[in-house]
Amino acid sequence: MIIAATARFDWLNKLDMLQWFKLSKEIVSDLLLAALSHETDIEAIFNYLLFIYEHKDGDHLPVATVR
Amino acid sequence: MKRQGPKDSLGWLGPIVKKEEHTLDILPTQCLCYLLYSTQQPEDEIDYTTVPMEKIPRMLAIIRNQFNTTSGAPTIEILEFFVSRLGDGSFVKRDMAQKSLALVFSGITYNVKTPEPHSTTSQIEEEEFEEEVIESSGAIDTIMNTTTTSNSAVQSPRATTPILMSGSESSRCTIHCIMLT
Repeated sequence: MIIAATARFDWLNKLDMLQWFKLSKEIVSDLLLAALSHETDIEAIFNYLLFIYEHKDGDHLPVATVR
Repeated sequence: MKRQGPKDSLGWLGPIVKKEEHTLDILPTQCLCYLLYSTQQPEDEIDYTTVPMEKIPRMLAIIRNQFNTTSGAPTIEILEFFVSRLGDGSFVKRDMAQKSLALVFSGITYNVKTPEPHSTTSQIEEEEFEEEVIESSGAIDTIMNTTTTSNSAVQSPRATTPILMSGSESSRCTIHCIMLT
């Protein structure tokens, strides 16, 4: 199932077109996961979650901590 | 830059870039990213004497030149700079980072293989919804073999909207909704 990010977060759709996407996706996923704890905009949260779960690897599952 | 903090660094970097455009060519990637990031402040907060707004196209050209090149290091550095700011405690700073990322990526175009660059979640959900309704309507036909209707509109997912439906149609449509939930 492919769900695209909303227009405001179109740059997330374009990330996997980068030549160095595989190298950077782990960093980006971790940073987006960290951003979730500060984000208050529901659209941003939705798009970050979408990216994290669309690009998660079997051996690299981001871990969220609920405070 | 890291030692002084971003506010102080802009104090001297911005005016230099404003005066000497060629400075942009020799600046490290992080400084360029920071300058671009600083141009995305809310309009009422921008100090036009220090923020080089007029250099945005040149900044973008240089950043894009370093971005997505044969070496992965600048790409990761640029991404890390902006994406890490998406987790800032300040809404304004998160917004600045989002806008900067949108600007950097606006230079990257979709290739032919990428499906529907502007498709939104709602469009995809709608398509899936249609598929589900069509599948469900088949199942309902089997269950509701006593219901007789020849109206083709019932087969359409649009028939689930309660507009001018006869008795048998409305009962089928209600079942559609129940099955889908």
